[in-house]
Amino acid sequence: MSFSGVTEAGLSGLYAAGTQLSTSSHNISNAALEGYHRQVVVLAPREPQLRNGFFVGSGVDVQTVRRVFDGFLDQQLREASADTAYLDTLQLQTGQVDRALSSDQASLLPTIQSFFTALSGVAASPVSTPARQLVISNASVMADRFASLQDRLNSIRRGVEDGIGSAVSDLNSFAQQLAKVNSLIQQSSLDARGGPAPDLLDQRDALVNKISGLINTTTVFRADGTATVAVADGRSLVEGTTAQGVGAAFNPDSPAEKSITVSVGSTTTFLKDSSITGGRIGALLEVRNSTLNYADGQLGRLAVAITTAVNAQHQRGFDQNGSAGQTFFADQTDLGTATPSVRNSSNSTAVLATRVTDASALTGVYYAFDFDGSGWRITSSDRRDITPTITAGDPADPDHPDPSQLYFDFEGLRVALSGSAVAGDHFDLRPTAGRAGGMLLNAELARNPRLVAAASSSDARATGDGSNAQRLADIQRDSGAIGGANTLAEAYSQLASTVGVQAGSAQTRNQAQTALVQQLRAQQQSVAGVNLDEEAANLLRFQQAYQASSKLIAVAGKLLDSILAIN
Amino acid sequence: MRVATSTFYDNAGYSIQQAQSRLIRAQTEISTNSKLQTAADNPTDAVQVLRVSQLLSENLQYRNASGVAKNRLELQETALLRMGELATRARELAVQLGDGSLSTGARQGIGAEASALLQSMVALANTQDADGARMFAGNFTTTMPVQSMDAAGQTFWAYRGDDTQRTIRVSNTRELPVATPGSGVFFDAGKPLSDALGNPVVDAEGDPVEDSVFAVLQDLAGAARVPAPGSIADRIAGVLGRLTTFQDKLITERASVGARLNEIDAIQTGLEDSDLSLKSLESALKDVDLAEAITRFTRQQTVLQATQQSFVRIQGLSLFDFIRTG
Repeated sequence: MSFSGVTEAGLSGLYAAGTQLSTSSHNISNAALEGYHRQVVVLAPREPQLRNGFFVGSGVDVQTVRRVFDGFLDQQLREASADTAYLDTLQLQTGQVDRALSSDQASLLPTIQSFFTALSGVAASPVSTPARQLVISNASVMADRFASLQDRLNSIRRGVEDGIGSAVSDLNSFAQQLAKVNSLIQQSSLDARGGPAPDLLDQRDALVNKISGLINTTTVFRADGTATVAVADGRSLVEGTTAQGVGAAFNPDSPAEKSITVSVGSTTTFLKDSSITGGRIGALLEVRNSTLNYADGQLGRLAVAITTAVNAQHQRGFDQNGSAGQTFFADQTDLGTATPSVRNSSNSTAVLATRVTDASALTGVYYAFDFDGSGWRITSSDRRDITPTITAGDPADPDHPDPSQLYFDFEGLRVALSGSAVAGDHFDLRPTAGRAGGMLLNAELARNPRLVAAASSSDARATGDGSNAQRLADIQRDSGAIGGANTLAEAYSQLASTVGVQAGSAQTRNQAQTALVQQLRAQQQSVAGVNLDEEAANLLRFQQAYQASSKLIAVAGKLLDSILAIN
Repeated sequence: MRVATSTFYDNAGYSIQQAQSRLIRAQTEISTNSKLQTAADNPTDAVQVLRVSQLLSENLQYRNASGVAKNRLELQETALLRMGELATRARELAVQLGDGSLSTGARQGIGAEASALLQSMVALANTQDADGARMFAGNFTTTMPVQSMDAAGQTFWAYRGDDTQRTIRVSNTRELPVATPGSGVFFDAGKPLSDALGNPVVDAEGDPVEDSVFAVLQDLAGAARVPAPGSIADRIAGVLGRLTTFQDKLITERASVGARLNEIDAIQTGLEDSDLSLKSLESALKDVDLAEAITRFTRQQTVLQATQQSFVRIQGLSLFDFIRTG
C-alpha cells in the first residue's frame, strides 16, 4: 500500500464532494430562475494504478458539471410557449375590437334603431316639432357612436403599429444578446474540457425562447453549442456570433401599415406579412390585416350605406317649408383617391378617384390596383380577382363623361383613372375604411327641425304628410340595403359576429394552449427543474462524503505516525 | 415522477388563476345578469340577440305608431258621433218646421237652434288632435278644413283641406288610414252649389264649392226665417233629403273608424304577444340562470379556497426545516 495513495484518494474525494456541494448550492440558489436547468456533477473513478500486479483504485475524478436536459421536451415547451405568446396577443387585441363592437355600452345597433324609431315617430306626427327634434338628436347620437367606434378602431390600430415597432426592437436586442452568448459559448468550449458552461447554454435557450415568442423561428443548435436562428420564411437572424437584425417600416404598398424588413448590405427587403405566422409580431400583423382592416372596412360600409340611403330618400321629400329635402348627412359618395405605392415610378401621374355608385353593392373590402404596362389588375383583400366594367370617357355618356379618363365600375364603385401610369405602378384603395368617422349631420338641418323632409308633397300646406319620413324609416327594413341581401341590422350583426368568432376562437385556443404549456412545463421541469428537498438530501450526502474524505487524510497521517512509531 | 420545486408554484399559480378567472366570470355574469358580455362569448347567440333587438325595436315603433293612430281615430269617432247627434237634431228641427201651425216665435227659435247647430258642426269638422293637427283636413293639418266664404251676399262653406288620406304604418304590412279627409264625409262631391244669381260658387282657388252638411244646416236656418211658412214645404223636403245623405256618410265613416280601431286592437294584441315571445327568447339567449350562476360562483369560491390552502400546506413542507446546522 501507499500512504500517498490514501491521501490522494482522500483529496480527490474532498475535491469531488466540494464540487458537488457547490453545484448543489448553485442549484438551490437558482431554483427559482426561469429557464434554469439543474446541474449535476459527473464523477468517474480515477484511472487505477498497477501495483504489484494489481490494479489499485486511486480516488475519484470530476469529469464535468452538466445540466440535466431533455432536448425534446425543451423544444416542445419552446414551441408551445411561442404559440402562447402569439395567442395571448391575438386574444388581447381581437378582444379589444370585439368589446368595441359588441359590448352593451358601446354597441352601435341601439343608436341606429333609435334613429329609425324617431323617424317613424315623425311619420306618425309630422306636425310635432319635438318628434322632428328627436330625429335630429338621435341622428347625431348615431353619428357620434359611429365616430367614437372609428376612434376606438384607430387607437387600437395605433397600439398595434406601436406594438410591432417595440416587438421588433425587442427582437433585435435579443438577437444581439444571443450573438454575444454564442460567442461566449464558443470561447467557453475552448477554455474548458467539459464543454461549454451550462449556465451559458441556459442563457442561450432563454434567448431563443424569447425570440420565438416574438416571431416564427427555425432554430438549429450547432455542435459547438451555438444557436442559429432563422425567422419568417428562413431569413437568418442570428448565425454564430453575428446578429442580422430586422426592421419595421411602413410598407410602401400600404403606407400607413408597418411590415417587417430585412436588410442585407444596403438592400432592404419587405417580408410578406403572410410569411410571419408566429409570436407577438405574427399576432399583431394578423390582428391588423384580418380583424382591424375588416372591421374598419365593414363599419365604414355601414356608415356609407346609411348615409347614402338616408340622403337619397331625404332629398326625395319636402320639408315643412315645402322646399326639397337637403342632404341629411354630409355626402359620402366621394371616397377620395387610391393611395399610390411609394415605389411607383416618379414618371407616373396616374390618379385613381373613387365614387360610390351603388352604396348597397359595396363590399367593405380593400382593393389593390396593379398596372403591368398594358392593363390593370384589380385584386381584393379577400383574394378575389375583380373584373370591372371598363369604359373610356365620352361626353355623351353622363356616367362616364370625361374623355381624358378611363372608368372602372365594380362592386358599387366607380374609379376614374386620370393621368398616365407606368408599368409596375401599384395603388391601394380602401374605399370605406375610416368612413364611420365621416358621418356628420348637415349643420343647417341640425339647427332647424323644420328642414326634416317628412313630406312627399311639395305643398307647404301639407303639414300632415309624413309619408317621406315613413319611407326613411322603412330603410331599416330594406333587405337589400347593404351587400345586396342584408338589412342594416343584419350587416351590423355580421360584423359583430365575425369579429366575435375571431376573438372567441383566440380565447378558446389560448385557454387550451395555456393548459398545454402548463403540462409541458411540468414535464420539462420534472427533468430539468430543481427539487429543493432533493438538494437538501444531497447537501447532507455530499457533506458526509466531504467529512469521510477528510477522515481519510487523517487516517493516512495516523498510518504514517504508526510506521514512524516502530523503533 | 420527479417533481421540481418550481412546479408546485407553477401549478398553484395556474390553478389559482384559473379559479379566479372563473370566479370573476361568474361574478360578472351575476352582476350584469348577462351571459353574453361580448359577441366573442357566443357569436351565434349574439347574432340572434341582435336580430331580436332589431325586431323589438320595430315592434316599439309599431306600438308607438298604433298608439298615435288609436288616439286619432278615437278623437274622430267622438267627433263623428257628436256630428251624427247634431244631424239627428237638425232632422227633428226640420220636421217641426214643416208644421204649418208654428208660431213665428217658435220658428225663430228653430232658426236660432239650427244656426247654433251649424256653428257646432263647423267646429267639430275643424277638430284638432293632440299635436294641434286638424283631423279632417287630409295632409293640410294646419289649415282649417271648413271655412266660410261669401258669394253674391250669401255665406257658403268651402273645403280647404286636401284629399289625401293620411296613413300611419302600424305593422310590416299595414299602413293604416288615420284621418279621412273631410271632403268625402261632410261634402257631397259632384253637387256644386250656385249663388242667388244662379252662378256656380267657387272658392279662392277656383274650385267649385260643393253641397255640404253645413250648407244643409244653413238652408234649414234660412227656411226658419221665411215669413210665409206655407211656401217652404219643398225646401224642407229638400233639406231632409240632403240631410239623409250626410247622415249616411257620417254613419258610414264612423263605422269605418270603428273597424280600424278594432284592427288596431288586434294589432296591439299581436304586438304584445310578439314582444312577449321575443323578450323571452332574448332572455333565454342572454340572461343568466341566477341559481346556476350563484352555485357556480360558490363552487369556484370553494375551489379557490381549497387551492390556496393546499398551496400553503405544500409550500410549508421543506426538508431544510429539519436539517440542524451547527
